[in-house]
Amino acid sequence: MKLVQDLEIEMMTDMYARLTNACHKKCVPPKYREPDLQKGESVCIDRCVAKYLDVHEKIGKKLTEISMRDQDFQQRVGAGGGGGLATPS
Amino acid sequence: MEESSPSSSPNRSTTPTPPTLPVNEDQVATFRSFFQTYNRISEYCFRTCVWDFGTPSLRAREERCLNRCTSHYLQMTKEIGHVFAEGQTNLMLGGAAAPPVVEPVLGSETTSVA
Repeated sequence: MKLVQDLEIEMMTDMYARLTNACHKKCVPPKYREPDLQKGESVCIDRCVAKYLDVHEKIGKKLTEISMRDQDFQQRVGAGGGGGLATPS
Repeated sequence: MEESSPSSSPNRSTTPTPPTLPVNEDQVATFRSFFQTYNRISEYCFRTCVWDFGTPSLRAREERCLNRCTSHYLQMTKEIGHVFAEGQTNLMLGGAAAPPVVEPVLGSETTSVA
């Protein structure tokens, strides 16, 4: 059970890093006139995070649906993510 | 005037229920690959499909794009897996039907290019 929790923490951390990166690229143009976040940037980031979490949830549901449907989906996903070396049990 | 906080559904779950929970070390690697792919798809499809930050909720067009993007990415992963496995197999068998870009391994008798 601890393995699952550690894994989930690792994945949430990774997701957070990707979210930060994506919203920074979307909302903060690389022209820094002042050190503080502007109002428009702040609102954009607010909405960007909400949308990213929405996207994450929707894609998660779709993946779960596909994995239930396709028996060897995990093998392909594991092969695609691990370079083809992971073998299913 | 404060902007409204981002809309959040009361039962939002940001991680999907995996088909099988890892119970030993071997399955942890598979589970980790699944989650890495999941995070990669989320980031890539978000960057590609979401452009309107005038509203905190997804537009219908963005949702349709996300569905297609997810399916495309998975099919691409499958295709890459197939071709990669074939290439590796050919390489191990001595490069008999290997694609031109594959370097022949040391000790192979034939170096003919298909």
